[in-house]
Amino acid sequence: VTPEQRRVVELYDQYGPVIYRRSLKLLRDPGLAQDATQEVFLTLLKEMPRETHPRSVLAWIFRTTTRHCMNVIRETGRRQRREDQVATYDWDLSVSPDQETLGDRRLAAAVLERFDPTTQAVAVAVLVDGMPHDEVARALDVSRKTVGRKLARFLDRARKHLVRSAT
Amino acid sequence: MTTCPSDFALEESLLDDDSEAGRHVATCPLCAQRLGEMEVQRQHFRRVVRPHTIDAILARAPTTRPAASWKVWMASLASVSALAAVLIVMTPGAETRPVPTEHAKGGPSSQPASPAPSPFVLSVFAGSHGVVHPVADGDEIPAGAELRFRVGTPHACWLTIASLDDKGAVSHLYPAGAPAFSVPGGNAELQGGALLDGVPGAERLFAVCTPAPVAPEELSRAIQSSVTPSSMAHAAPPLALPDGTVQSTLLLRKGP
Repeated sequence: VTPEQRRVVELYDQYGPVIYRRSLKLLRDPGLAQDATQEVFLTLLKEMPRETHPRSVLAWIFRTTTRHCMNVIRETGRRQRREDQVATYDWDLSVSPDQETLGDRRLAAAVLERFDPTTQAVAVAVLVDGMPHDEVARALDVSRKTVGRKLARFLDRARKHLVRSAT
Repeated sequence: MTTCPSDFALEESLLDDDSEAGRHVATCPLCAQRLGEMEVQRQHFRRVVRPHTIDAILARAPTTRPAASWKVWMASLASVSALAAVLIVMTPGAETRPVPTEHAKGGPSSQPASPAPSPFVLSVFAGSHGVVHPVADGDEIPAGAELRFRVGTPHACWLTIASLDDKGAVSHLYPAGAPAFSVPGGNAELQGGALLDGVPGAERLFAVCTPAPVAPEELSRAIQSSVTPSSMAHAAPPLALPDGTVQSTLLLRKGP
């Protein structure tokens, strides 16, 4: 075992559980979460700036794991071609700014994949995690205004999508 | 904070229990339960995910070394460690005997002409209610304190930390989920730590660093054949472990 490998193992012991918890929450599948943990951690090794403070690492993990898991869900959905096998969430849209409700969780997941990664992350953070906007802004490294704008856009388009689907 | 924090804030509170979320968690049974669930998932990671993925991680990890390595931040411990809380220092193998702290820290040796092997250094820190402090042999600490460790080893070896309580039971403290943890030669702050059981009484820690991982059963036998609950308050003899083992021990008194 080289010193570099030991360093990798130490970092994995420190941050692997954080990535795994996040992946498991979003994917609801231990096997998929395990794969996601491995991939996100390897990305972390490649991309994280050196000497990064743990709080910044945590925010990076939150962003990157969310994005990765959204991709996994999208790819899983494509492969399976069956919407009912797409991971579903405990959506709580009562916390959205205009008090809208979507109702159909599966449809919500299908809607989500139509958006860019940042919007996906904002929607998941607010609607799934129930995070306040300022906390989402800190975790995603965007402004609070951006969080509100992207969430409003997501809800507007999701509503239109639902109307079209219903008709 | 009147409402329960998000998962993200809870993760932040694990980094800094003096955060707003950390203060909320300290008084919220629901959040305490959520933290318990997070701990269960961490244990699952250690028992299942890590063993299944570590080889692939090491095989695919970037091979080019960054210009500067990651700095492992243990902010709350850093200032404390500057106090050089070196507690017990012992030399390898059968010649296990205490070495003056100054020697361990690189100070003048009494026999500079014949350099002795670098010693094994164990530093223990206890954290409780947001306060972290170094622990000396025989110190009383809160029974439910969290322990963190720093070790200095003369060479690469496999580290295990276990304890004997005053009822004669041996507990494996570190690392979680594996018999031993590979440490490089030199000083290292150990990731994670150990949480004491909250039961007041004496507890003797044993840190051993062996040339190859030692089985938990072997270490338990070595501890129980060397020390008994009635003798644990006195200086403990070296454990009978393979040649090349470096070891250290420390008595804790867990207070109410």
